[in-house]
Amino acid sequence: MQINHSRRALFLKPFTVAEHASEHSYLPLRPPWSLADCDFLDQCSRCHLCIDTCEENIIKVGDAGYPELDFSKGECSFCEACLKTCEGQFKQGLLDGNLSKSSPAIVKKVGLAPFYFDLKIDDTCLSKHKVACQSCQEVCESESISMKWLSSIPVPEIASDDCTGCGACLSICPSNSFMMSALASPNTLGHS
Amino acid sequence: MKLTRRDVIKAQAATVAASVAGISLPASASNLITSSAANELTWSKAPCRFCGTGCGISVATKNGKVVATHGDVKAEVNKGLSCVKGYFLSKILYGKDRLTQPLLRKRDGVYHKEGEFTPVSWDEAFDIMADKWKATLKAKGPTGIGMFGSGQWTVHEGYAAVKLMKAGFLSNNIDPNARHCMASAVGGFMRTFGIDEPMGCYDDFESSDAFVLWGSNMAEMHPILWTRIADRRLSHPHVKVAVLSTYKHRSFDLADIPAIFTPQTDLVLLNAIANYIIESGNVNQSFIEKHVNFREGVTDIGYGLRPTHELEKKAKNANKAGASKAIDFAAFAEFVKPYTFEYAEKMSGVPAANIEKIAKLYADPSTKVMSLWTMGANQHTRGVWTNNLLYNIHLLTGKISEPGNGPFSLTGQPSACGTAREVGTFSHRLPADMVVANPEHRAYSEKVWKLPKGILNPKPGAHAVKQSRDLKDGKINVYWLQVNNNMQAGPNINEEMLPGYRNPDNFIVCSDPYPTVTAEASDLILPTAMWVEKEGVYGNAERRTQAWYQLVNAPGEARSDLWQLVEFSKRFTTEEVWPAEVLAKNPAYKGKTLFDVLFKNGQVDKFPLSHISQDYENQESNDFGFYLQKGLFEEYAAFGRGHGHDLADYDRYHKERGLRWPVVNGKETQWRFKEGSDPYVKAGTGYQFYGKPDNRAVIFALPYEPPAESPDAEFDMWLSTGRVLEHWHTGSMTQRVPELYKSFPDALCYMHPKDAKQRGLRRGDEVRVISRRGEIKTRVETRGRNKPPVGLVFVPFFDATQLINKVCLDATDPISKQTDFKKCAVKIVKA
Repeated sequence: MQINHSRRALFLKPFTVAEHASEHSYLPLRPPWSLADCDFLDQCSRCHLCIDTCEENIIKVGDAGYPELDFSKGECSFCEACLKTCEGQFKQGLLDGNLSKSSPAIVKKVGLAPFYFDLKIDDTCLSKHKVACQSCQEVCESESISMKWLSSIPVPEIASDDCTGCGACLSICPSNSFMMSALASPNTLGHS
Repeated sequence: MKLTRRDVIKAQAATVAASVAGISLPASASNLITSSAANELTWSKAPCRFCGTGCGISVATKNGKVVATHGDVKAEVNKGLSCVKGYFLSKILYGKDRLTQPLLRKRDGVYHKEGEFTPVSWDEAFDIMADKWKATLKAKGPTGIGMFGSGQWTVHEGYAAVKLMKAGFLSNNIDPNARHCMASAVGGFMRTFGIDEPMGCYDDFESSDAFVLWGSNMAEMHPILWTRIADRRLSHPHVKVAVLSTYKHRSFDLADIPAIFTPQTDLVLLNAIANYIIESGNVNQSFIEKHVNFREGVTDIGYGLRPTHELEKKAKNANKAGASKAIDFAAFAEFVKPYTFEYAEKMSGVPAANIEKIAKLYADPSTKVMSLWTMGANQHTRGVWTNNLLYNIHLLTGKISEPGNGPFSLTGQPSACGTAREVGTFSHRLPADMVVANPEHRAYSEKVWKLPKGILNPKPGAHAVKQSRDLKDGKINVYWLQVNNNMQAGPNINEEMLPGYRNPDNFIVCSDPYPTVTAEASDLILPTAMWVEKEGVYGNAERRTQAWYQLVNAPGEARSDLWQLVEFSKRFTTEEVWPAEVLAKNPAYKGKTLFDVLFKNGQVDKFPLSHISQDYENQESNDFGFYLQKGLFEEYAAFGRGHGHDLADYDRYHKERGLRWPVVNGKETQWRFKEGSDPYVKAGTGYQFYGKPDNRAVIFALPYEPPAESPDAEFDMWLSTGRVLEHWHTGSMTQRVPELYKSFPDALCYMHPKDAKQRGLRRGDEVRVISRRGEIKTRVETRGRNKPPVGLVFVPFFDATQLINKVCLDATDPISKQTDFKKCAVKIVKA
């Protein structure tokens, strides 16, 4: 895993490491197709246009003013509006002669996924407490959540290969039992 | 003390995480923290507030609030399990917009039909109500007033309402919302068995070899019963599950034999199975010879629409829809002969091979079959027929009234059985299956109620859909709704319902804990206590009567429906509501209020306050000065004791996790009609269907008839409505629970991907669902829990922002008067 602990990233959230993400280095959830976080922080101008353009209203102003995803009230529809806005804003910067950035912060490259993440269901899941609930299975567009009939109340299971990271399950889970943590993205500057 | 700093931070983190997440920790976890006296919880029991399953819930209270609920491990029904609604049950009490005082539409300080809702005192609320009621009774008599109640009323509330309407106001214009829900099931029971409610019970789940679902999505609507089927299916590999429906839903996850049929053709499939049982030689001859009669019903019975509707004018037998004539077995065999598998496949679209697989489950004498159905069979313009045909196949094979074998009509509401049906809150009924049209039944009721002889009204009142029509036509002028949200749940809202509520001649009163669509369409809103804010009794689908105590006080001035009914009765004297000639003949009743003759009658007020458990509050009883609930229950129980509906002593229900009636010699009954398990069946008879005078059940010859409205070139799709797991009915309670709202915020239009593609629609697109009667805007869902076939869409009705019932047709079963919410024709266009 390639992680660049740049000075900037290191000082952003020194004491707020989420417990569930402890197995992984903590990284904020950025918009889809964002650059790896170290590059993202360098290239993002904090213009917040991606936040304004998101039709699902899931991009929020995060730590230090950088955009972060909040799946608590919605999911990513992969409409690419944030991507296009970011590209557009970068091009406008070039036209205006502002050369402080070398790339948009959101860049779609062939072969790269919109999100790199780790998705887990923790022990607060109602099904694990004998409460009949299958809400997550129903909203999973990629059908990567299946219900396993181990006993009379089926328990959800994630097939991570198919999961797109859209966050729909996080948005509807009544017990907030889904934990998504970002992993380092291979979407770095200089790679294609 | 060995508590390290790290431990403290950890414990705090857990509590903070739980409170941030907005959930209470599981009881097992939270008990660890509640060691100090300040955190002590008081645990009590109550049946769940939601569906007809009747799960037992352990309820924790602290400082006058319900703070936690979980499945009661001692409850036989659910054995500690609950569904997601039940898990968040306590939160329905604490919505932010809970109503706490009566609200009357006022302009310039006085009532005005177009006025603004203004807080008023209970006195002012009852004053204007009494004025309106008295004026209407004077002008139009008892048919001018109406009441629409509920299968969510407690037994006490339903009983008090029936007494007030039928014995007090002498009006039979009282009907429950169970008319939309279980009326066809009642019609089926009465026609086939002569006595209401299932013969079997939930214990059947653990003995069956096959489960056949006919128009029921148990996985979502009866999730805890579904866990019992899942347990049986998963631990016994020979067990088969067949699921029949007009669209694929969550119950298909466990289906060994899935079958998607064209709407209305369940009538064909059931007759085809009866035909197969006969042709394959699997009729239980000795059973039908001893215990069954055969009858042929009249046909061409119409669709319960207004008499001026073309379909009604065309129908030959709309006025005698329930009539039938005696036939014999040979005639019945001849009647079902045309219903071959080939014909059934052609009509229903279900492959003949699959129909045969299902038919064999019934025909094979060694397979114990449980048939289960709910709204798919009941909300049907031939719902009574469908129920009759379901009983046919169990009666032909004698697979009934024994563990694992039996037809089981599932109930939608928590007390559709206990209150709406057993108490008799229907417009044609009296308690314990009696009817107003029968002079003996009226005489018996007059005796129990200590009323003047001959006073009860013999003419059945207006049923649910007719009440709406009568309001629109100005025939009913005052109307009181309790525990229902009919403006969202009733059919054809814009054409047939709203005009009646807003008719300037009419005065509409709505009792509810929350400002529902119905409340907003009313003129007076009464704030209501709910669930454990009052003492109550519910009766579930397996005849189980369950009681609970008042555990907390209702907020503000909110009062239970029971208190409202009894208090309102004080405002009327017998001179104002009873005919003068009756009072002349019975002078003892002169000068008394309805409260005196109905509730302070020496029976209802028989038990002193000292009989109430010292551990619990009881708002109504303390107000009226006697143990009201016990008095009502014991008077009501007199109707059923000795008549096949025996209830135990009231106090016992507070100690038990419910008992299944008839309770005879202290023992409940699991399987009725069979010797050995039902105390009413005489030794040596084997079976006695004692609801019928000759102890024989009836097999009915009934054909397929088409639905009231089918898709055509313009309105090219079927529409079915229904519920979802996360929400209860119209969502007036569950939409106010943040977790449940979040898990299913808005209604959706479930649609086949091909239908979507053909209309240029993508998942999530906004669409208009349009019928001849109205339209709504919603969004397309091509995946998820419901997967309709090409040509059908499903839209749930819980969402007050998307009133799908504006689109529905107000066609009913002509026998049961139950609305068909599962079939009408719509078109879907991009918004």
